[in-house]
Amino acid sequence: MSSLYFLAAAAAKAPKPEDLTPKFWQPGMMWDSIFVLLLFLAIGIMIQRARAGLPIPPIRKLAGLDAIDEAIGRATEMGRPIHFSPGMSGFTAVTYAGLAVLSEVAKKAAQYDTRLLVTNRQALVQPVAQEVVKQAYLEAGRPDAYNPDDVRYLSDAQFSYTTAVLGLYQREKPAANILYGYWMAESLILAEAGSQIGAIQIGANTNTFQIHFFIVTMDYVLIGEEMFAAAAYMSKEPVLTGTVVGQDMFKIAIGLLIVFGTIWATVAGSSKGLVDFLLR
Amino acid sequence: MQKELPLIIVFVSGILVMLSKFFNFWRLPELVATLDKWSIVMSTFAMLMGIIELTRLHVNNVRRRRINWYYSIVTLLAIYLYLPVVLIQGPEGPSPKWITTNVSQPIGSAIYAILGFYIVSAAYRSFKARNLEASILLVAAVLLMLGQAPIGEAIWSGFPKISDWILTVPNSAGMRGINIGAYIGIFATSIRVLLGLERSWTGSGS
Repeated sequence: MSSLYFLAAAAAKAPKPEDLTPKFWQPGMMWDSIFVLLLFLAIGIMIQRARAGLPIPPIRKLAGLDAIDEAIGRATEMGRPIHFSPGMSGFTAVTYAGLAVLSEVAKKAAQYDTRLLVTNRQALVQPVAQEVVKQAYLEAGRPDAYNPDDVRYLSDAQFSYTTAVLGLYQREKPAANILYGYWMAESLILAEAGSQIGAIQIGANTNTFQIHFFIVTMDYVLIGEEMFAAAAYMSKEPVLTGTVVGQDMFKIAIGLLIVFGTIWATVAGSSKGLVDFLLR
Repeated sequence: MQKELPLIIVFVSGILVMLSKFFNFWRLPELVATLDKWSIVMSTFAMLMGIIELTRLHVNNVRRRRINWYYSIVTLLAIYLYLPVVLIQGPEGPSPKWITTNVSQPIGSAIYAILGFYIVSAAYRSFKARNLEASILLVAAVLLMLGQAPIGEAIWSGFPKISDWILTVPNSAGMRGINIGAYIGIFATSIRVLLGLERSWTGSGS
């Protein structure tokens, strides 16, 4: 009896299952961190394959990015400038993607001696955009053609920036209009005004509440993750292509998880059990 | 070092912020809170650089008498007459508040209101049954408009139900799919920037 008493006392002092959760994890983030590690793993594997020279799947054709050459060519033939904007957000991943495309556009504009106008809404992005364009002109062998006044910070206020760009459209009449970044309510105003001046338009927006305005007004639109494949697609660098393939592999895994969750919710009548498990 | 230093700073600060979202050890939360404060200070300095950049641009416009150079004078007057008022009275002072309420906000509302006209012109140009996708867009748009406007319900009580179904089922599914792809793309781009694989933003070339 005394041994049973000691066993019960030991069991009472034993840590409860929830106390076994490592304290260094933020509450509810365990599975999130595992998924992040899996994404790192997928991308890491594809980067190693690319560096080893092993074959990796190519990126499918993206009409919007192929059209950039067409847009620059059109602007060159018409003798009118190209307008580019990396969006309304500060330094986010979307802006990095926009700056990668700006670098390629600036190089081609320098090669064809076509004027490139870049407008920025964020003061923080302005010096970086200037440096990107300047470097692109340098790499194209045309440092003399770079004009710092053509890379402009207009305003931090949303509609002040929008009206400034509308004024630029009316004065400069760009033949190509590339809006590549995160856009909000001004997306339709800018896209429609660009359409009214007859510019060929290429747009990319991660804001799903505004993407449809781009789709109905612009000639080419990059939706969702397509805009993040631009650097890899345009440079054709195997390592960058490998990261895009890695992210696609992870997307397939997420898709399978969604299908699994749908089947679970259908069979069990509720997905609460699975959700509670994933929120541990 | 000019090329490597920005990459090192991005890697260290990015990894610290990422780890703080998932883990809680040592003094990580305090370190990330300090980084947040530093980024606010840097944004403020960036605003100052923005004002200098704007001044340079518009002074050049006036000096070289570029197209519509007189609007540059208006811009410069607006900046340099408003700035001392805000510095003296503060952003909540009577004059800045009056300017915000009676000048900035009505102008912003007017520009936002232009959206209505642009929606009509965009709809007129794009809602044409050129092909299957355009026809589906046209039919869905008409059903949604009839469902949202009171006249649709007056014509037939089923329009609001169809409109709600379009919004809650196929539209939500599409938006969520795009969002999932975009968020994974954002994460992969962030990893590329953290690891220094994407360097176009440093201005040092590929």
